[in-house]
Amino acid sequence: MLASMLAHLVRRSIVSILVILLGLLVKRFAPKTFWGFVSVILGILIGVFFHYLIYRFTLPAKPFVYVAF
Amino acid sequence: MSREPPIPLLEKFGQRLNPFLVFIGIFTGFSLMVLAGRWAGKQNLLIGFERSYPLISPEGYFYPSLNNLTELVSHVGSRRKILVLVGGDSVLLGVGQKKDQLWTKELQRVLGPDFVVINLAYRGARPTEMGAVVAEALSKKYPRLIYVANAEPMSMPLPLAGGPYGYLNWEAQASGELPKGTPNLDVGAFAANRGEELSTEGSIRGYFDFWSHASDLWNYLGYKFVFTAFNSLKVPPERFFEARNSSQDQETDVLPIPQRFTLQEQSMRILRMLINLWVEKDAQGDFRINPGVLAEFNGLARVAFPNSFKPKTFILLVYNAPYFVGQLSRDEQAAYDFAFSQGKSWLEMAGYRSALIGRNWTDDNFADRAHLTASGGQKMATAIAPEIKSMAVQLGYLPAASKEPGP
Repeated sequence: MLASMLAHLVRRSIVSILVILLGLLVKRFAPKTFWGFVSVILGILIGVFFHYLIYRFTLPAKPFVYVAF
Repeated sequence: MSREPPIPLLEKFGQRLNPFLVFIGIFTGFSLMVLAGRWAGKQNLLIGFERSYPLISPEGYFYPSLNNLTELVSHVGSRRKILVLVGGDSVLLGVGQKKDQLWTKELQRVLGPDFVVINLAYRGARPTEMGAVVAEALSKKYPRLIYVANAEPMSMPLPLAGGPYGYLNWEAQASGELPKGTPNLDVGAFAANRGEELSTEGSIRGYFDFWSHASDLWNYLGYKFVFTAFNSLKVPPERFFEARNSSQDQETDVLPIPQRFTLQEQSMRILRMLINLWVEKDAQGDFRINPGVLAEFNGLARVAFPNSFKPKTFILLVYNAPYFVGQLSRDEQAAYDFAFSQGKSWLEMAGYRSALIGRNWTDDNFADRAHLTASGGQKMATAIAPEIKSMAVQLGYLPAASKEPGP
């Protein structure tokens, strides 16, 4: 369980580092493209967040408590 | 000499962003999530599923999507076998039975290899919720299907508006997988009520879920990697984020008799309240079903399932523990029996198959007032298996020759 979570985190970290490196490269060679790139990435993150909000907002505020006797 | 105030960092950041590209990104990100959800919805998430225990059910904030459940059935079931989907509430879920003593395992054993039994019962679910929705949605894909659920006598409740399970009915409705309802005009009012009653948060949730695949994706992530909603059922609660596939189906031990039969007074009050609701005496002093209850039952039973689905639906009426029933007066016991026998007859008249379960059983067979122990579960499986086989023959799923020879 812990091993799979760690592996998952490592994979995520590698992807994040690659994205940052790509961003730095773009910034070095084309500043305008860099901000365009940042805009798209930010938009994607907002889109992901919206999707998560649909899931979270549709969960009931009060938990369903089942009592049987 | 005055210095110009520095521009705040966020403002500077905002000025450099391209709004058009941000919107393109939002659209792309959301679309990618929908596509990922679509993919996740086609995976069999619940590998090794035997029944829904609290941490993988709405009690634990895990609301399985229609895709989660239909994919489970598709992976376990086979079109070459007769699919027996068990719905209903905690009695059929097997509360009171450990995972390895589950009554549906015994049912599978007794029915044999021609059948596949899947337990889709949920705590507190009505016979028209959860398992019923999956069964109806899969009835085209699996034409050889039998749906088993339980109900109280003279009762066929429709999905509960605002209840924990109504969302799945709406998700199924959005998917277009449900067979068409009864066209009978005189039950139109009931059908309309069914829609109106459910037009709540559940409907919004169902439609959004179906089109955005939000539950498909976030259930997948929550089940396999990290769960994102806090829930106090998780012990310790601060570890709520742990993937739900690491949780266990833990059923507590059944206490010895009579400690297992707690809440005496409340249980007896419930029993007497139900008897008074169902049965009354006419002018001659004979029992009869309360006319109001009967009228409501007839109306609801007609629209609860499409006409084409009713012959495939097997409703069990499960008695309460004799520990409590035995404390009723003779007259009350007779009324209780009358309600059950009438309940069975009226269900059959409405087009369903029905069976009485638990009459003259012992206290050993009950874990509390309503739930069955492992021995009770085994008895139930043994009692209904011949009925299911007989249904399979009647529905043309099995040749008449494979019907078990009578005694």
